[in-house]
Amino acid sequence: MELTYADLENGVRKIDLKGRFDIEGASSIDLKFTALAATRRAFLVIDLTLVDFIASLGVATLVRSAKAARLRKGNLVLLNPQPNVAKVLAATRIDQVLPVCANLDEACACVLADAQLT
Amino acid sequence: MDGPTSRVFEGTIGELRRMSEWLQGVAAAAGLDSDTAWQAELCLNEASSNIILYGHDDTAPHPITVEIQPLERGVRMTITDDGRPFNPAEPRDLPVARTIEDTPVGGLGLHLIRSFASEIRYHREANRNVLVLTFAATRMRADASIRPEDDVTTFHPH
Repeated sequence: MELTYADLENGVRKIDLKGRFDIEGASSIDLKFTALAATRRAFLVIDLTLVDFIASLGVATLVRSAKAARLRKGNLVLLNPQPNVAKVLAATRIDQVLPVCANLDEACACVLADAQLT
Repeated sequence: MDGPTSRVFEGTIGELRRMSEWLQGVAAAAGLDSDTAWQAELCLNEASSNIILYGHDDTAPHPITVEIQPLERGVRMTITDDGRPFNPAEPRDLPVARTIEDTPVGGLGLHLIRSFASEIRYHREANRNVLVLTFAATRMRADASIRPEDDVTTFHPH
């Protein structure tokens, strides 16, 4: 699984994931993902456009990172999951506790919504 | 493909993608639609991960046998392992979380199996776990192999 990221001018850190987010994929990005998400206050948009499969271990990685971001008064939202990935997010009800956005503008607005309040 | 086909996999994390590739090939040969094939692949991945990570006290690889039986509309998958007794069909509700802070990190795999399998059966046989998952297809490819006698008539509600 591939992970790349970019720090946008608006302060959002956009993390792009690509490949299978199963136990093997989660293991391959876990250290880097945690370092990007949990070492400072971060407003994270996780782009799932190129994730073609997600299993529970992948979902767990997202949940752990979101918990870590919130702990530092940051935030994490998900961007553009493919239909089968969206079904897993819905079945695990993750889409009820993490915003899922369809485009980057919406995702940035959502992830920064509470930034002024904290 | 008319009858069942099966394969024995080494119970290691590295085998999970080989399992998926094999299942995709079998599903394609059986004419299974992509949505049902994906559901079966996801549940095979979750059930096998659970066996590998939590099924044994030792660290040695234990075999996992997977059998695929095409049905008139869908597919039946039987997963057999020699791990400690564990029944994924037992009801376990996913805790309702209102915030990400309250969201559980574990237990999601079993919930996915219960969400996407149409029917779940479990029994012990010769000191082995036998998990039978049925997936009802909404459509089949026109050239799919058909075995009407294998159709499934009862399903668990989602």
